[in-house]
Amino acid sequence: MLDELIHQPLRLKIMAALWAEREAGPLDFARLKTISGATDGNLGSHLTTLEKAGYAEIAKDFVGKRPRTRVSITPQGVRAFRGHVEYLRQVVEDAGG
Amino acid sequence: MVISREEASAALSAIDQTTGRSQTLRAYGAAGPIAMMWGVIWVLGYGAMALTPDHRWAWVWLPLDLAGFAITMWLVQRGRSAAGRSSCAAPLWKGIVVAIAITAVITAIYAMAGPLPAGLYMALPALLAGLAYIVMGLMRMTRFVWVGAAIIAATVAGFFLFPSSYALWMAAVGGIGLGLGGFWIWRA
Repeated sequence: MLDELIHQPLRLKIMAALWAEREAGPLDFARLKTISGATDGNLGSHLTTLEKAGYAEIAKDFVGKRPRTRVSITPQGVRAFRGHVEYLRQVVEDAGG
Repeated sequence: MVISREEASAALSAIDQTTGRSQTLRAYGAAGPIAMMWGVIWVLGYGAMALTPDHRWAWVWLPLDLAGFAITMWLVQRGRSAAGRSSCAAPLWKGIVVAIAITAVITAIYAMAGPLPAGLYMALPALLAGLAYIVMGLMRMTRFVWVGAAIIAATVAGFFLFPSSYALWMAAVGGIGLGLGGFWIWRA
């Protein structure tokens, strides 16, 4: 079924990036910004939404004196993203058939 | 909420683009240090060519090339381990195969052509490396196209403009340029 939370265009990109990087470990905030093409504020706001839904995990720490924010997809997020992609494929196939 | 086929198709396309971009950036992160390392090898190799008689040039490059290939393998393996199972190290392995093929072609040309003019002897590997970078760039990592084109342009320019100090030109412009190109790729 359609996951309306993921289907929002920027959150879809964020989830796709986190899903693609799921085995490489948490994704740096700056890298995620580059991949998704989002602004700082926009990305932060959508990440909070995804975190509240249990789809993403945000970890903040310091590298030396510089703050670092890293994001990863949770197992619940993986399931939701796969389900959403499956739904999208189904819609395309059903309409095509 | 129900979505149309067009909306679903656009969403799938956005997912493909995002995952592709993510993989490309990861590949840049792995390939950049390799290019930087080869920049250092070029500085050492061409720098040594400027200081040694031409009959020793093959012995200058043999250990440098072997060290370069060993470090490249190590960097690829390290990148693969860090990236996990979904690693996009495949393009890098293709790059290594291309590098081995180029080395074999250069060796064959040197063996078949006999003694070559010094400038051509120096230019040939750089031209073929530049071509290989362009091919790699066309496959996925676009920035390699620019690095390859810059290498070819620098190699040809030095050949015609500074023939008497060509080895030093290749060490400084080719080697340092390749290193900077690698840094640019890594920072993508």
